[in-house]
Amino acid sequence: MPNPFDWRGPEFLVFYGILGVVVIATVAVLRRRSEPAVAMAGPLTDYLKIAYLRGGPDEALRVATMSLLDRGLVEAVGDHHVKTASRKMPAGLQRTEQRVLETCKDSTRASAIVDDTSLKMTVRSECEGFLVRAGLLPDDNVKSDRTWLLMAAMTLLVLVALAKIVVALGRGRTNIGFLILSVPVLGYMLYRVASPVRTLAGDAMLADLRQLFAALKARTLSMGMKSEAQELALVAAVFGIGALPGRSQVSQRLFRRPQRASSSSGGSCGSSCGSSCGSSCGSSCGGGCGGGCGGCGS
Amino acid sequence: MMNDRVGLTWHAQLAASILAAGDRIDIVEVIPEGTFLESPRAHRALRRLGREIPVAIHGVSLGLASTAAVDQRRLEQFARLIDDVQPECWSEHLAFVRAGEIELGHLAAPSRTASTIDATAWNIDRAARAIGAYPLVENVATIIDPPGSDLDEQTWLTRLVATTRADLLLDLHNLYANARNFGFNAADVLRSIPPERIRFIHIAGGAPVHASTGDERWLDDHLHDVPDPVYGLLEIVGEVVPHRVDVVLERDGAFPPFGQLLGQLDRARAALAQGRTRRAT
Repeated sequence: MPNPFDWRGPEFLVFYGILGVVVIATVAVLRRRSEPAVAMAGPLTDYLKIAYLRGGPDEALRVATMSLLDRGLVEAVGDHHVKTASRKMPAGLQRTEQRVLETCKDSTRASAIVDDTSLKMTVRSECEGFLVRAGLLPDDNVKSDRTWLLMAAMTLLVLVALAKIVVALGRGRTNIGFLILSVPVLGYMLYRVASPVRTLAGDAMLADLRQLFAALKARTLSMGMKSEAQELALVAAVFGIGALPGRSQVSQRLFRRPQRASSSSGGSCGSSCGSSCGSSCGSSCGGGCGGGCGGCGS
Repeated sequence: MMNDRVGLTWHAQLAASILAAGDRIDIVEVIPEGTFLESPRAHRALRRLGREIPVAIHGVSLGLASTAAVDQRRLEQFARLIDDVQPECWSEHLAFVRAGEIELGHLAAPSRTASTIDATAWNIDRAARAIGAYPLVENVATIIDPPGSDLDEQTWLTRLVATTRADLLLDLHNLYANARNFGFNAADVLRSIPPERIRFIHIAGGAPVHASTGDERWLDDHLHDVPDPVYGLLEIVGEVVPHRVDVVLERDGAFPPFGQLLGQLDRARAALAQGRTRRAT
């Protein structure tokens, strides 16, 4: 039985890579087995919760603002600002929508709505609890299980790497750079597999919505600007604002952050898109975040 | 109070509108062929839809009204679909859709003879065994009198209903179209059908088409608003049918603003209620 720790660097790196893939695949399988794959309860008609499920609080606020625009409750002021159209608060609004309207009483930069911590807390409190209870976002138990799984897998990979490094150094070899580099790379992949934002049931819910709405984008071509606003909001929630004809550019322009300095631009993308699209969309979101995060790309 | 339900054919183009107007739509009817029949993932999506709003499955490809046996593979596909989705009911047309290997791409009315009644009943039994539930069977529209027929539509339909355990999905627009095309009274035919066997209703719209000879026929195209006489037939349904019925508006294209479709549902509800009132008095 060959001892991998006796192998030369390149051979051991191949072995380590294969070990990493096996560990990641095992973690993926164990996670799939431990989480319910389908939760039938879900917000099939609540655009805000669907948008939150797809893209987190930033995306939910973006879609909410666009929906308020479509309903004529908010009006665009120039390219980047919005303002509540009427001082009177309409009945039947969701709490987040009310808070967005309150925030926009005076002309407000649209990107500031998405960055507003208080609004994020509002949309989180309105959506997250529901989605967690529905099994679409992980609850504390699921998060705990995922953490243990991640830690166990990571420990194994780190211990194997450490053992090889010790053996190599003990034999006077210092060509361990690639091995050290491969640990965080595998760790990152492991993290993405072990701790996605949504549960499997959440991914299934979004996939089902896309299946049901598959040909809906064609229909949006005939939707008017203010009519059928609920439908537009659902389309934006499921596919992203970019799926609405003519809205992608409006959204990008509207939610573009002020470019005061190069560092601030980079920072805002990191925090906003990174969290709401990059991490939450993962494998199943596909094109959905294209429109939503357009503001960061430019 | 019958708790009759009124709904719409599911189309992905209308999906958001249907869900957004859930309080005004009691049931949706899904044609599985094309999108939902084969994929387990699509079955799951339909099952999820069914949690939100009652779903009925409406097949267009089995070809029950044929002297040829229904394809076993298709029956198995339907069985999987029905098992996965658990719809409120499933239905098929009293039509033939293929001859040998040739797909007609059309719901063709069968020759109205005693032998097609027997063959259709045999196919319905076979489908019910494979799927675990009898289908509701729908009368079809036609612009030609089916060649080889020795029975009229009324006789063929009532005899078939007497022969099989499958109840009727009565398409009032098909009845109206055939009555216009062949000069019979749709209301008389409707009243001749055992009302306890009418479970489900379709309403739809159509338009006149002209043959090169100048003859006019009424085409059931599902692209136009429901004509007034169909609402009149729906009133009769409300009057004669002793149990709850589900009414579905079939609209397959040239979609008007969604509010216009909802308006037709409201009108259907009102017509049905009018009939129920007449029945109660």
